[in-house]
Amino acid sequence: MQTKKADGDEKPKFQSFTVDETTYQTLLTPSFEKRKNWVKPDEKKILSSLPGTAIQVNVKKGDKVKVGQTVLIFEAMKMMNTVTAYQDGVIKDIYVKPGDKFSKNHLIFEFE
Amino acid sequence: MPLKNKILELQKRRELVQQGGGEKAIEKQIAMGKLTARERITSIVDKDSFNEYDLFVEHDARDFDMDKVTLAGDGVITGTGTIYGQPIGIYAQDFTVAGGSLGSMHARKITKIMDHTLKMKMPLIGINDSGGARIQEGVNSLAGYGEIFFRNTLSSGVIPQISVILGPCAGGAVYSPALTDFVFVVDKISKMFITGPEVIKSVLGEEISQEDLGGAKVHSAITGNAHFYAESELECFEQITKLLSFIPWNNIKKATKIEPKLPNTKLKIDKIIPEDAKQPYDVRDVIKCITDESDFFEVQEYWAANAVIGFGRIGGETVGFVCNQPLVLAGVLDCDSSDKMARFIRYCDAFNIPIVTLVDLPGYLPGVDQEHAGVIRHGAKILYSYSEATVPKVTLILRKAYGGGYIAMGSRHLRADFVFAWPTAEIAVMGPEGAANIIFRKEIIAAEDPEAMRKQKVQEYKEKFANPYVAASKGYIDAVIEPHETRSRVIHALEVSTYKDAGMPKKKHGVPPF
Repeated sequence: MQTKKADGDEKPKFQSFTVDETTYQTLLTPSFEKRKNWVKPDEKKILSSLPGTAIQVNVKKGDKVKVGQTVLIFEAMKMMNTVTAYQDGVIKDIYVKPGDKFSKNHLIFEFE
Repeated sequence: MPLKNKILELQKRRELVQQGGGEKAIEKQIAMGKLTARERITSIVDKDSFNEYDLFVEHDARDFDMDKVTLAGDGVITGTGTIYGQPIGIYAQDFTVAGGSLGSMHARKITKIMDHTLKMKMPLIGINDSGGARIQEGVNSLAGYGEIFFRNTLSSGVIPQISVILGPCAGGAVYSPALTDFVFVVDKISKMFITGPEVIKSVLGEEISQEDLGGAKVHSAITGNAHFYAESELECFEQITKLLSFIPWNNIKKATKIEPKLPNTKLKIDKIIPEDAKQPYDVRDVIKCITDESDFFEVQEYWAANAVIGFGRIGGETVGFVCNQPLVLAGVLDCDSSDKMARFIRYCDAFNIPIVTLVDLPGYLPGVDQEHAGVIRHGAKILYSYSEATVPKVTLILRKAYGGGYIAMGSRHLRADFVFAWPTAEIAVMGPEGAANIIFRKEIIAAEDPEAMRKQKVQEYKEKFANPYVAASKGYIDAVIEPHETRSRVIHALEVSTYKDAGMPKKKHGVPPF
């Protein structure tokens, strides 16, 4: 595996890196380079909290839902789990159908 | 039966079990580029020193026709031996026997040798090469794992525990290595994960190879689960014996002091720090200038490389180095580097190894990802570990020691015994740019040329505060030293610490920010 070594013939490619308004020349780590910029979560978009398989979809586009109403039943971690509406509202769209496999943070449905 | 025949019978029985899973299974093992369990043990311990126990142990499973199956040694070889003539306990799972699967007798062999090593106060080496729980034995194999984890925890901080991953180590099996002090992995051979690629595929539809999910490189560079990475099993065994050359055999002993030797590097310690304070250098070059024979045995080299930890000898005595690495991310502290340092400090403290801290950091890594990943509680681990450590603590500030980073990195305030600084040290509440912008905010805004004023104020601040003398005037550092004085200062500090006795309040245990 590659070691991060400063000496030798090749000079490593240093990059600018700022902390406390001072810019240093240094190497970056893969995890730093791969970090994701934070974006404010869109409260109208409901994402899956677990990876799983959709079993039963209880709503369709345009449906009015009440807080606590079950929108989706999905199988994950050897259990049946539910996605419920956290507020009263109208379903703008639902993005899963029974049998769909989805990963964590997959867009399940959207409020208008 | 005449005596001769009885001996012959013993020999025959031994031979049968020592064949493990038989020729075909051994051929398969070799084809995978792996040594056999027995070869592994004999390659690690001193020549002819291995003494095996429980060779004739057999499983007692009855379900699923298991009563008709004999498994040689129940898939694990256990025993004692010596390394450098000193006693150690060792076990190796034998993949050729039922895939090295762990049943209750298999586990009992392991826990027996674990109890023995703890009682005899000697290191334990566990070689993992197992498909996991022996499903036919049901909850009994889970019980077996639990008994192993419990003993790993009891032994923690009493005897060194070394895990060597030389094959699959999946599911619950991963937690024994995770509880031990050092995990060794070998490229293309080691595979560790909680849920394997098949489960991930069936649940998520994500396809990933075992290697990409939990191979040696992954655990050495990404997860930090492994401490030592080798290209081959033989290289791995050399690393194990090298590690054992540095550390004491138990928590009552000190590491063996050997004949002191001078550093032999061509590097010049006075010339390592670049003129421009914003340029990086390799902190390992500083280490090489002060250790015996310039030898440094790095731990977790590829993970969180903005921190450098490892063992070296100074004046013949083993020390643990805990350093910022300006070469990577300017040496900042973040979640991973905090975990890396904190755990190593606790290892050194548990095993009477003095800690030498080399400081050069601009502070903590800024970013939402770090804050949300809990850099507060991770960073707190360093404070906790240094404060709690009662071994001799020698701290050397090479260059930047700003803000919280200054406090965390083995400062006087966390009871470092000796704090030295090079003349290049900048010990301040924060970096000059940031500090000047806050302190002289009004002046900068009011100036005709704010940028020029800002530069002037930064310069003023630098001259006044970005040095070691303010801290020295308060006694927060004990001496400002020239780089070439470092080795003799550290040697003297270690000598002075020979009888160190730092009391701690009586408690069952603290509540560290895990």
